[in-house]
Amino acid sequence: MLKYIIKRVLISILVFVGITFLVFVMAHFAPGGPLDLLTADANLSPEAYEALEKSLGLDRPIVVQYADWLGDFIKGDWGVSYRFNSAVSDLIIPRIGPTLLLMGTSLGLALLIAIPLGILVSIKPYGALDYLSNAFAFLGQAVPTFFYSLVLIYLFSVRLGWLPMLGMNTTGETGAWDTIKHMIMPVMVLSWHQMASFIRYTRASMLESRNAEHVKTARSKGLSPSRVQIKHIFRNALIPIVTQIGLQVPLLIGGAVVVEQIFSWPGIGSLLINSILYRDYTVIMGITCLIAVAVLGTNLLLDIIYAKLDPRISYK
Amino acid sequence: MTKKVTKKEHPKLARFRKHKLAMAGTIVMILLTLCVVFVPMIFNLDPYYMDYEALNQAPSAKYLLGTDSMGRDILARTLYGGRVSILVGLAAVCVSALIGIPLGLLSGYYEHTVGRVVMRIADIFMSFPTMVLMLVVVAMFNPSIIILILVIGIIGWPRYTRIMYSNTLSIRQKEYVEAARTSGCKTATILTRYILPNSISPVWVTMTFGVGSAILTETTLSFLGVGIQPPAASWGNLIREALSYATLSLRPWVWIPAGIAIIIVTVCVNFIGDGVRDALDPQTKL
Repeated sequence: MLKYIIKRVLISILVFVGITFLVFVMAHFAPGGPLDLLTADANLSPEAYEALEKSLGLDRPIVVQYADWLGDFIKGDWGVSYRFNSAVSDLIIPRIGPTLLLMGTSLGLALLIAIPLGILVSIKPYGALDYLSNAFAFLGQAVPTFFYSLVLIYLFSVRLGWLPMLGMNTTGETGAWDTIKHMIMPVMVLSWHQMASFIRYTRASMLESRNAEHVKTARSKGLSPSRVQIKHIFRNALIPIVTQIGLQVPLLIGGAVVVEQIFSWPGIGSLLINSILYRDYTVIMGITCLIAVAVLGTNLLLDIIYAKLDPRISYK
Repeated sequence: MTKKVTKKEHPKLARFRKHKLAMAGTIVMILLTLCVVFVPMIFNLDPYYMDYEALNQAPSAKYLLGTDSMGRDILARTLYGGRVSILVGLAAVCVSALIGIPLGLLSGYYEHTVGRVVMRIADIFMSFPTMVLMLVVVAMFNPSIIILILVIGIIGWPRYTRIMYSNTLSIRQKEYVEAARTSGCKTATILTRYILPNSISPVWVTMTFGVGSAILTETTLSFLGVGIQPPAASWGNLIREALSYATLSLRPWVWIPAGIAIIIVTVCVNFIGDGVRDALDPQTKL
């Protein structure tokens, strides 16, 4: 088991280096790169430009620059934001909490609705409920998140005035209830978008495992249907669902970026988009790396859970 | 009356035609594409013309869908936006397939050399949030239609590679491939004449669904302000107008048509995709 974990960690580190190097290279060769941005207003002579390039270390080979940057990154020095003129880590760290809160609640809600619904639907496939849940899931993926968000804001904030439309707290208020009211719409949007594939996978894997031999044995032993459903079918159906959660995490992050921007949620996503619009490369790099770490970390964790759930998985 | 001898319909086409939703989706998509292409030409609609006497007009006989804050015709802008969004969707999928199919084919055929490297890279791409990657990449260039097509297309390759890879792995071991190899066929011939035609059908399904997700991606990027830039219209940047509170609350006619258009297209594309899947492979049903 330990060997398996070590191997997974090593692969993750390799992938992390791959992703960050790619983004680093792109950031450096892009028109309007860091240096162009710094010198945008100053009318520099070619010599002065070169001198500046040299003093910032931008004339060295890209691999050396990357190694340098990676060293600093690990030490916690993520550079300085061009736009805010403050340390990137100071900008990013306070925003991690709100993003995790939003994503965690959405994922939790999606699973809480989708898994029971998937189980329920699998008991009577092709029934009325099956079609209904299918249509519901289908629309969740067909309606673009940004449009759905705006429709919700239009209905609940503008027309009805029930919910606050922007941010995480009303100015001057800090209560949990206030935050919950701000969360309702973004969580609705994100979880609906997530649910579709969870419902589909739960249903499919429940249907698949209900005909397994051990389920037949359990039934013929005379166990109650609900017990068979939960203990014997669902437990086995759980493995594909866990895999699916892992595959959904990138989608969840992508969705959160968009939703945070629309609802001005003070998280990582809205910071990322605003940094992109202002070409604030150090912040973009910092967030990209953070997301890479988060994604790889979740995959690693799920791999381990996966191995625990199914002892047959080899640790080769 | 002489009975006309009709050519027997291809079974796959027949299966597709029997899929009611897929047929409905196809018809709606064709009509929509025709509208988007020809209506502006026939009625001479101009998405850039600013009518200063008709700023922020609600829908009326003159402007069927009203006007925006610069007096531009929303109907014209929505139709022009549709051209861009549909074009980007189709073209991006072609780019992905053009990269993904050959890579998948080679990876499957040379499983232990090319395959190892390419599939690892595909894993990396798949594990990273595509939206974040696209935002970062698009932001580095000055976004235009071509850049958007390329970026959405290039970032979308792994899905096609994966499918081609696993299909090639199984087809490669079939007797007819073995026969071709022992009779001295060149590798290129084996790949293109024997393996490709027999492993490509699931790719059509992915490509169909891919059009929908490429359109969603383009509109999302344009909505966020890093895609198609105004004054050019896209369904995404039309909806972006709703980020201003006045447009959101007082002028829903500016942003609702584009949103409905996106929903219609994605729903149709998904129906068509279901139809294509059932037609090509009647056994699988998820």
